[in-house]
Amino acid sequence: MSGPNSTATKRRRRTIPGSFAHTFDRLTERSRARAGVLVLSLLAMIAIFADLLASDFPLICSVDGTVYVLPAVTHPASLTGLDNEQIANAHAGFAIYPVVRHGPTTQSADRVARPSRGHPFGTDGSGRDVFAQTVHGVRTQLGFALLAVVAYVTLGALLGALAGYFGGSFDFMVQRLTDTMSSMPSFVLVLCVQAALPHPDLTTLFLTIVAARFAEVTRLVRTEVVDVSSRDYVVAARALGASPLRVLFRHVIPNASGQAIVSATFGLGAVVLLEAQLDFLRVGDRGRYASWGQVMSDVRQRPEAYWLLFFPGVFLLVTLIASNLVGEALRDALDPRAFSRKRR
Amino acid sequence: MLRYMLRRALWAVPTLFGVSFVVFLLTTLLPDPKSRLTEAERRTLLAKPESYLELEERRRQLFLDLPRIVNVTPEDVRSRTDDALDHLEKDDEEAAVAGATLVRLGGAALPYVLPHLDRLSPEARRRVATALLPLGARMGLDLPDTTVSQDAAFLFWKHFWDDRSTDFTGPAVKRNVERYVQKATPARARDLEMVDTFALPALLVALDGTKDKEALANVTRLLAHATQRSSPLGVTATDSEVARSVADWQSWWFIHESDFVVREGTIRMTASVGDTRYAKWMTGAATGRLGLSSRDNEPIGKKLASRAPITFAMTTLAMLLAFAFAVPIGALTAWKRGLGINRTVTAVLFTAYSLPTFWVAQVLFSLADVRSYAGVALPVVALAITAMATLSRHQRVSILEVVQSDYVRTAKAKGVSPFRVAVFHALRNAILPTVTLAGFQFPALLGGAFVIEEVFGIRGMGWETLRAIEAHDTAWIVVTVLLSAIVTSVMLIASDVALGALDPRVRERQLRGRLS
Repeated sequence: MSGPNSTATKRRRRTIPGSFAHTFDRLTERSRARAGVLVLSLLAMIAIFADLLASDFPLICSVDGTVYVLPAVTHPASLTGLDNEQIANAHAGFAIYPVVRHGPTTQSADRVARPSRGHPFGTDGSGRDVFAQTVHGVRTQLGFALLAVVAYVTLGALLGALAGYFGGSFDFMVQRLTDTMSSMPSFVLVLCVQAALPHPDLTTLFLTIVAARFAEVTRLVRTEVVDVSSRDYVVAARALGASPLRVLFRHVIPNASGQAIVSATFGLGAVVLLEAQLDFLRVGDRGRYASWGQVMSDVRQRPEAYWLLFFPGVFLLVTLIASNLVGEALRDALDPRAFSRKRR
Repeated sequence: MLRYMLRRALWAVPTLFGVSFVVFLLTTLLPDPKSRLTEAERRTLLAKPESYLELEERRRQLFLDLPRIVNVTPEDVRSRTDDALDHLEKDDEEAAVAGATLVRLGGAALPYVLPHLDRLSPEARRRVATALLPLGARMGLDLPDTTVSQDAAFLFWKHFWDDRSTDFTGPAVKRNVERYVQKATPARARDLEMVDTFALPALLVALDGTKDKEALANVTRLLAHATQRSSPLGVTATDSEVARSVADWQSWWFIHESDFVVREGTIRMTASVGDTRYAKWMTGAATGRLGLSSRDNEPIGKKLASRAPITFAMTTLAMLLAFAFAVPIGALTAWKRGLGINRTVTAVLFTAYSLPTFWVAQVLFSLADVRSYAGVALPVVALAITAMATLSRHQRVSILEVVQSDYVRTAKAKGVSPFRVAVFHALRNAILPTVTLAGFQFPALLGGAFVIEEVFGIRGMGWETLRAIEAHDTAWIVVTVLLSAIVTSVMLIASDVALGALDPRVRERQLRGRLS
């Protein structure tokens, strides 16, 4: 089956085991996935600790004798209306500042400013700090994408598993549904639904993405479940008298979930990209949260402001590459014959 | 092969039906202007029948007065008349609107009003008769002096019906319309103006039946008179003006037919399915009545004809470009696997595969002068990059597979020249999966094209869609989703069929009847 014909083994055979080249080959094979995971976790760290990197408030400060820890997170009432400058100037006491002393949504007077000490990535069209937006953007973009992916993969996998396992008219209906949904280009669909809605916001975007993307997972999982359902261990479980639902959830789904996991990993990048594209086109509500696409869209008014396009773009690209790296590595790991597997 | 194509096409029917349903649901996202009214606003509106009817008219344009899927009680002129009479009889808050509605329904409603006047209480019939007086004026009757007696209006309508009820029969009106189309004498026009909207069904039939410009102009004049809507065609109207006017009246009739015809028996049963939002919308879309763009009042169909070719041409070009580069790149990287540069090429391909299209487009746009010679090709290049990378990677994998196959080894062992092996044995077999992938690439390319058009300011479907979003032009948005879904389905079918045509093994499987 897989062994002698698979590309990986063949390539390894060309190099002498133990040699530098061999180690290098094996390392690159694994290090790709490792690099992807590393980058994704780094992004996750940035997302979690975004407030330490860029914030309107100091990390720790003492104002008028009271010590505040992470006021940007706790939002103490006595500090409302103040910012880093005022705290530094008007109030005696000590303060530890974040790397960049601007929050993602605060607008300053100098618009489209070049990168400088105060604004390492410059500012955007409405005077917001690009570094803060990029860093906090990791949180909003990845967080949103993660939620959406979990939702649509769960929905898609459940539908696919039920359809593949029980078959019959339900299966038929699910197949027609997936055909229908996958014949609409997801970006066009999401764009148009957001446009047709009277009040588009993140919730509707979330629902639209789930609706536009679950079909792909459903199809993958359904095929896999149909395959797994005829395996010996499933037949054995049934023969032992396990209830259909137990067979489905204990034996079929765990063995058929590989495709869903792979699809989820690729989907993370896809959803981030989709949202960035929508924001870049200025569809949906703007300005209430940090977003890479929004920053990048400002470059259309000021084409010379390369920093608007460059910094968030690099973050976006890195996210996409990492998600694709991990996705491919997972696919290869889960399915040794992934090379030859085609859609349908 | 033809059988397989037919079967695939047949399977696409439920899919497209589903798509149409999803898109229809999209249209129901539209806000209903009536539901947003407060109770107080509703009362003020009811007191002003003109503005109330105008609001109703706006809802009807979007079929919001109809139920979504099934119409249990399809309306016709009789039910509408009875409803209005009911309100007038009770003299409730909707009486003013009911009076105006009766006048709007016009002559078509008279057979269901006038014979029943005797049965009403004296006050009620006075109200109804008075409410109908504007209709009398429209029909060109000598109106009675209502100051003489309270019952003057009632007696006037009673006498009118005694004299004229024979005119309000289908065959009589049909004959009159036919004669009028042949030669439009003032007397014949007068006869038809007298029956008012009762002549509408026959007039619409005449509108379909004749090509004569003068006759059409005459018919539209009568239509405009009875419905008090839009200006009739002038004598000097050009052909395109006539055509537009005819189309305009047909789409008006499509919406308002239920106001002027009686539905009984089987027609009533069909109406319970046909007179729904979904059915109306579907028939409209299928017969090319896509409506007007709410942004600039241009017909959607015309707009589509000027925008869609740009987008699809761009997508097709990008696809061809991606292919032209992907096949050699994929083949070379796979064939010359030992070369050191390969790792770099693979890394570059992987990066290109992950590149966001809009970002590439914007960078290229910023770097290059769009009006220059190279600027014309840039959008296509930007669009093609991701597709090219994807296809190259797949091409590489499929060549790697083929290279290790027995028949390539046999060919090599036979002493076939390396070039011949590469091109005729390996590439020919390895290119097949890539062909199929082209179909799957299409949706992504289409999405990318939408963004690129916006970046480069190309006036294709994407550009138009974004303008439509600003103007909340749902008609355009809906058509965009529908069209892209149809084209995508066709592309998927085409790539399946193409694969079958190129690969005998696949063809056999397809013909054996397993779809997936």
